[in-house]
Amino acid sequence: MRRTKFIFLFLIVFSNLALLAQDKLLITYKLSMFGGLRDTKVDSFPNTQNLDFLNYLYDFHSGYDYEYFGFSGHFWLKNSFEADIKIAMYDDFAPDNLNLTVQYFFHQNMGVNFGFYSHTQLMNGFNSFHITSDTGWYGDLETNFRQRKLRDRGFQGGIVIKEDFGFINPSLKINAGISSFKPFSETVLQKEIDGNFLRRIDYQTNNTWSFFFFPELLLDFDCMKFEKTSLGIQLQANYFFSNKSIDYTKTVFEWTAENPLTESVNPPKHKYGKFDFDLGIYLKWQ
Amino acid sequence: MKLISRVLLIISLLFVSRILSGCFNYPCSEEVYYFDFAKVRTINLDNSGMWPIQSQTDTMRRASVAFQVIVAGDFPYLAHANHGLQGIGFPSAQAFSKTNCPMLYGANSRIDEISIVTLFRINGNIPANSNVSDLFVYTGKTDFYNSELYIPLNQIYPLINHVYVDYPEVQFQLFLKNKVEADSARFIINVKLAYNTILFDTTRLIFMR
Repeated sequence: MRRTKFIFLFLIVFSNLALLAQDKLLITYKLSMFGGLRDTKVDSFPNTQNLDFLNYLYDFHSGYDYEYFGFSGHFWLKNSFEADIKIAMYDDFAPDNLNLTVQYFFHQNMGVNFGFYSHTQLMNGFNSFHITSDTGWYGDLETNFRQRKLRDRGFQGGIVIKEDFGFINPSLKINAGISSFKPFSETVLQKEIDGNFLRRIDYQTNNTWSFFFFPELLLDFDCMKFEKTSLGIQLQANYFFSNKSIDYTKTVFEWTAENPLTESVNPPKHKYGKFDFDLGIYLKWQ
Repeated sequence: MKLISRVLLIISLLFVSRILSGCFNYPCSEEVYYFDFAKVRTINLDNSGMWPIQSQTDTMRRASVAFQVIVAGDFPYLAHANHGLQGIGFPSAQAFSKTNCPMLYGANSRIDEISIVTLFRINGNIPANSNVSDLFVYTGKTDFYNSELYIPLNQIYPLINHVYVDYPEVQFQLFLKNKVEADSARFIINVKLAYNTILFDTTRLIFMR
C-alpha cells in the first residue's frame, strides 16, 4: 500500500513537471539521491502519576538514532519561484519522511520559503511505565514488544538565502512553524496479581501544536558540467528544535466496559531536537 | 520389464488420483443438529497469574475465585466422526480444502438465566446461602489469554445462546469480583433453561490461601 502511494505520488509530481516543462514554466530540474544520519535528543522526565509518551521516544544516547535513504528534487520555475520535494525512508523502506516547500525569491539571493513536513520516529516500550509503576498489577497483559511509529508533521515558513559561487552553490533556509504529532491510540490491559481484577486503560492522544525552529543548509558542488547538464555532490544538514508534548485523554475501565473514568492529561513540554545530515549525488539540467 | 512399467504406471495413476482427490472442495452441510442441554460441569480455575488456567487443586487465592462452566448436551459427540467426505486425498491437501466440515449444533431450549448461590459466607455483608450472581462477571474466552474486559453476568445470554460448533456445549468462565474472607468457599451454579428446566452443579469445596 505504501509502495503504491509512493509510486502514485511520483507519477503525479513528474507528470505535472512534464506539463510545466511544456509551458516553459519549469526552467531547471535537479534530481538527487542521498543517504544520511538522524540524531534525536529528547528530555526524559521522571515518572509521575500519568504516562508521558515522549519519555519513550527512541533516543540512542551515544551516536545517531536512524540511518535514512531518499530522493529529492529541486525545480526552478519561472517568475522567481522554486520548489523542493524530499522523500526519505528508514531501513523499513517506508517512504514516510517528507518535505515539501515552495520558495519565492524577491531578490536574486533572498526569498521566502513556505512548506509542509512530515517526519517519523519510533516510540519504544511505553508500557514499561505501567510495568514498573503499577505495583500489585501485571502492568500490561500484551507481552509483545510495544513499538509505534510517531508521525510529526508541521507547517513552516521563513527566509531563504542562496548564493552561486560557480561550482559551489550554498543555500540556507531559516524556517519556523507549528507542528504536532499525529494523534494515535493505545490500549493497555492490566490484571491484578493474585486477583481477578481487570483494568483497561485507553489512551487517545490529541493534536498538541507547538512552535519549532528549523534551519536547513544545502551545499551543491558541481563536479562535472556539460552544456546544460551538471553532475554533482550535495550535502544537506538541518536542525529541528521545539518544546513538545503529547496531550491525551485517558479512559480507565475497571472490571467491565461500564462506567469508565475519563481524564485529560497534559504532560510537561520536553526539549526536543533533531539533527539530520546527508550526502548525495545530483543531476541538474535545463 | 513390461510388467514393471505397468505396475509403475498404475502406482503413478493412483498417486495422481490421490492428489486430485485431496484438492477437491466438498461443500459443507449447513445442517444444524438439535439437542437438549443435560448437564452442567464446573472446573476450578487458577487466575492468580496473568491468565486463567484450569486447576486440579482445591485451593484458590482469596481475590481470584474463578470457574470454568460447561453446559453440555447429551447429543452423541459426532463432530470428529463426521469427516466422511475426506475421500482418499492426501491429508496435507485436505488441510487447505473444505473437507473438514464443522458440525453445527443448536439447543432446543435456550439458557434463560444463570444464578450463583454461595454455600459459605464471603464476607461480613454476604452470608452463606446468598445469591451472589451480581458479584460474578463473565468472559467467553476459554483460552489462556484474556484480551478483553469482563462482561456482567446479566448481559451474557445473547453471547452464549447461539449455534455451537463441533460440540453440543457452551463453555464460559466466571470470576468473583469480591475477595473471600472466609477460609473456604463453595457455590451452586444454576442454569435455568426455557420451559423452567434448571440444571445445576455444585463446585468443589475450595480452600482459600
